[in-house]
Amino acid sequence: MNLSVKTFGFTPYEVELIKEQIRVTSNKTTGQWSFEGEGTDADLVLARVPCQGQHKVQVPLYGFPLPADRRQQDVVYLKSEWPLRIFGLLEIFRQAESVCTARTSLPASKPAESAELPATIQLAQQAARIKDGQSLSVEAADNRCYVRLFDGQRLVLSNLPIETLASRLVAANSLRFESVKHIDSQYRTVTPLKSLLWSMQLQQPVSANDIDNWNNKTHRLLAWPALGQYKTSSFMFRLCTLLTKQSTSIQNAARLANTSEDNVVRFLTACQLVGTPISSTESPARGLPDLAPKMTVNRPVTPPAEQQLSLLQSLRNKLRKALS
Amino acid sequence: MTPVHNKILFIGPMGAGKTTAIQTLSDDMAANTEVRNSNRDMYDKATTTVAMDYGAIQLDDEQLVHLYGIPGQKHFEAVWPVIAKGAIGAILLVNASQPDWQNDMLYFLNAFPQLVTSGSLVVAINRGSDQQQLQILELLSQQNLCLPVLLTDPRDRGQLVMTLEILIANLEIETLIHE
Repeated sequence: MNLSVKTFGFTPYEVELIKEQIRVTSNKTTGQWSFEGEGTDADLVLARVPCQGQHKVQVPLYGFPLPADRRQQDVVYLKSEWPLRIFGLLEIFRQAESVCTARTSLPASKPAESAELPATIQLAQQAARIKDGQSLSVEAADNRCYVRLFDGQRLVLSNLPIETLASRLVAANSLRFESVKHIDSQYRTVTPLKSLLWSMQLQQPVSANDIDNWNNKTHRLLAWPALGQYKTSSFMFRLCTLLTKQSTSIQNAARLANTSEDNVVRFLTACQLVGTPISSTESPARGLPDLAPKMTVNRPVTPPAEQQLSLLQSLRNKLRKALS
Repeated sequence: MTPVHNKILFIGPMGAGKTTAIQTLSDDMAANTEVRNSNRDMYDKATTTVAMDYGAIQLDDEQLVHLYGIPGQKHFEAVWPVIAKGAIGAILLVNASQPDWQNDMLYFLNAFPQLVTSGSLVVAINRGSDQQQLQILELLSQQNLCLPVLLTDPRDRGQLVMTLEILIANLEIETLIHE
């Protein structure tokens, strides 16, 4: 049986890695799996961001389960961990093969109605579909920008500063997308798409559904996001530090990073959108602290807590003053 | 009164930009021990640090944050722990335009294990690209290390301030979770 697999929303590096893993597993599966690049129309889709499309099986590798109302009814969702390992991939192929074999004898079902997604996710999905040299026009109210895939990187061309563009796209009720052949090169800002998605996500309203996605679990960042490419603030540095040290619930993260739960959810989703790997596990118990075992390494000399925090606050104030 | 340990370290190979970074951040003229570079085969620059660099950020009448830069050449390795003693964090500067810069980075990470395992270290890539930043994140992940990586110009105070802000955040979180 010939079967196709596509990836969706991964970085070019990750796509190469997956491609190589598929090559390694090629003679160990019953079906003949062929990798067909980025997209959502294949037998199997490995998704790094939530997506919909013509596929039979999807492996959501974005760290949280998609709520039932946003799932396509005719798609089977398989669980796996990111980063993918060879044995994990073999298991995915094995299960996907049984689904596809069973489906071949069934009549095609109606495509599910597209659920309304936040502007950031809509943009991430549409931009992930463009191919090298192609451009996508994005229109929201009277604002227009373009996304272009150039040399493996998705770039946004706009006449607005990136933060302003992000607020306008988020504020718009819906975005209109159109594939275009030619775009004018006279644009004031050319920014990586990831920077725009990051900024949009941090302004995106947080719904109860979004909180549910991250609730009752602990989360850990498996790498730091590429800071410096994104708009950052002190609470994000604290969240990065905390979440790379231990797996933590959104409530505990909010308490320790001195920010709101909404900000933690926005931050985690932004990390996902830019491809920062996150590991989420079911929370074993309620209450605080839900921290993983503390690090037992020798730590640098640490003065008493109060004194230390006051020093750090003074240093932060001084640094900000120097920059203003 | 308990002494406040507020020493930040600048580490990295010769030519990474440690001296420049300390000069950029210091309130007053930073002290250095630059001499003529007699090893221009290894790195072609006129001078190099032979003892250490020192600078400071004055917070108020009593509090100073001390900035120490180690001499980057490996034959000075014996003095690195002496200079590093009591440091609350470190910035590892790497010049990505140099050959073997990735191995240089790993060498310095191995030389300061205490700062690495506590997460009190920021990797600052000088003369690097976005692609090299991603390569470093991947390389660290292969070593099972999770550290912040930034593209930094040691002449740019704003970028250096961001590295210090990350160290501050790390210390705040360390202090809170070990309270």
